[in-house]
Order: sequence, then structure tokens, then C-alpha cells
Amino acid sequence: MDRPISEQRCGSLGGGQIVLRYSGMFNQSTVLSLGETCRWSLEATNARAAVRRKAFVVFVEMAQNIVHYARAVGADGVRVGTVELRIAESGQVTLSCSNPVSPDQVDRIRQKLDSVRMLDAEQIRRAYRHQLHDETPESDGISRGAGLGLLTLAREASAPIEYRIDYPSGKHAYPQFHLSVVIG
Amino acid sequence: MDDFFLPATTETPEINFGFSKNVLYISGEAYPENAMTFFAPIRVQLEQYLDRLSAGAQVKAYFALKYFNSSSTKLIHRLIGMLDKAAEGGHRVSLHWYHDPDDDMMIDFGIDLREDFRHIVIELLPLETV
Repeated sequence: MDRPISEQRCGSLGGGQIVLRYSGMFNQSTVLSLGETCRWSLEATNARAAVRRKAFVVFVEMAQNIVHYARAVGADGVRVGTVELRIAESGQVTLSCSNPVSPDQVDRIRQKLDSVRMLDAEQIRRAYRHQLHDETPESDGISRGAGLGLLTLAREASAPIEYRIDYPSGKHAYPQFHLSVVIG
Repeated sequence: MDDFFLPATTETPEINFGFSKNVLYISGEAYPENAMTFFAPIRVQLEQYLDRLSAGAQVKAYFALKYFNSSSTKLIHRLIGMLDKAAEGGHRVSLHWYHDPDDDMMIDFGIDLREDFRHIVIELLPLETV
């Protein structure tokens, strides 16, 4: 079995209590039911309405990112990953995700994340607007430049996005990509 | 041209293009697995309709979207671009952009639309009940 689910950990950024955590196979049905659970879980917290809305936006982007871009693993090529939603007493929400990625995509991912991490709010806004008008089709597996998805996460986040790439031991283990976004 | 209707699902908005009355509604949420696949036929329908529009026709579009994911964003933006082009071509086209009054991102998106598209009249309106 080449599904390193047990090796997946989400980022350690932010604090708070876990209100939702899912680790396993991802497809669009998973996204929809998790999305519903995410909304429902957020409703039951003390997070402000604006924070809850942003958290849902980020949650869906993270989950769909796993569906689209996680390295397919196993003979049946399933996508696996982890998403986690935490809430602090202050009402601050932390969303994290992790998934295996292809070794040859690691440099591209680092490049994209590093470039977005350097932007301030106004630069993120401008990059988002620029990307919205860009008619160039995406040419490879991962989106061109810093895609709208990544910029959406950056836009909703109240601190720079945190990421980490681990290299689990094991002959068939893929690099693990971890991402964390703090909201509120 | 026949009217075009798609019922809403959890992940896709209701599309109600009343071509016979020149009224175009989109409402709900958009985060399908493949936004391109979902929006392609909508784009085709709108294109055909706008191509056949009689001179000086008045078109009213109502977009009441509570949420859309990043890949749907671009495609919604392009639909509005098509409407803007029709307005540039001499038709009277208005877009009523509804938003949750507390949703700053959605309000900003509407404000940016006004900057991006100069030929259609864009009205920003709060959704009464969200």
C-alpha cells in the first residue's frame, strides 16, 4: 500500500481546538460533504460571520486543491490528503491541509508559495486582479504563476500562508506538502 | 431561441436565461469539480443569444451568487465580459450584482467589475435574505 496517510500531519501554525479533521481519500463528493460539515462546525463556534465565510472559502480551495493536484497514489490512482479546521478561544480560525506531491513539482510549489508569501495585502489584491484577466490557459499540472486559488487563500488569510514540505522515509513515499492559513 | 434553465445543485447555481424576455438570472453557489465543464454550455448559450440579439435590445442580467470558488471566478468574470461586449456593440445591457451585505469580498468583486467593464451598467445590490 502506497498511501502514506498515517505519515500526514498538518502544519503547526496557530493554536486552538480541532473542530474538524479528515484524512483519507478525496473526490468532489468528499469536498461537498466536508464543506457542509465545515460550515456546520463553524456555525457552532464563536468565530465572527466574516471569519466563518472566509474559512469556508479557504476550506473548499484546500479540499479541491487536493482533488486536482495531489499526487495520485496506489494502483487505483486515488487522491489522498488531510484537512483540518481549528478554532482558538479568540475566534481565530486555522485551516491546514496536507497531501503527497510529485518530487518534480516541489521546486515549482516552493517558488509559487514563496512569491505569494512576500506580497502584502495590496499586492495580493493586484496579483489577484491580474490573474483574473489573464487569458493564458494553464499549461501544466499545476496552475501557471500564482494561480487564483493560491491568491484566494492569501487574500483571505490574516497572516502570510505557512507551508512545509516533508520527505517521509520509505522507498515509495512521496514528498508531503503542508499548508496552513490563519483567519481572523 | 429557447430559454435555458439549469436547476441549482449544492455545487452549482441556478441558471435561468429567459432569452425570450431578455432577462438572465444566475443565483446560488458555484464550486463544481470542473468549472470549465460546467460553464462551457452556459457560455455557448449566452454567445448564441447575444449574437442573435436584435438591434438596440435591452438585456437585464441578475447575478445573485453567495459563493464561488477560484476556478468559477474566472468563468463568471468572462460571462460578464460577454455582456459588456454586447453593450459595446450597441445593446443596452445592465447587470444587477447582488451580494450579502456583510460580504466585503463580494462587494469588492462588484466594484472591480465596474472598473473592468465600462459598457454595461452595473448595479450593486444587497441580497435581502441570505
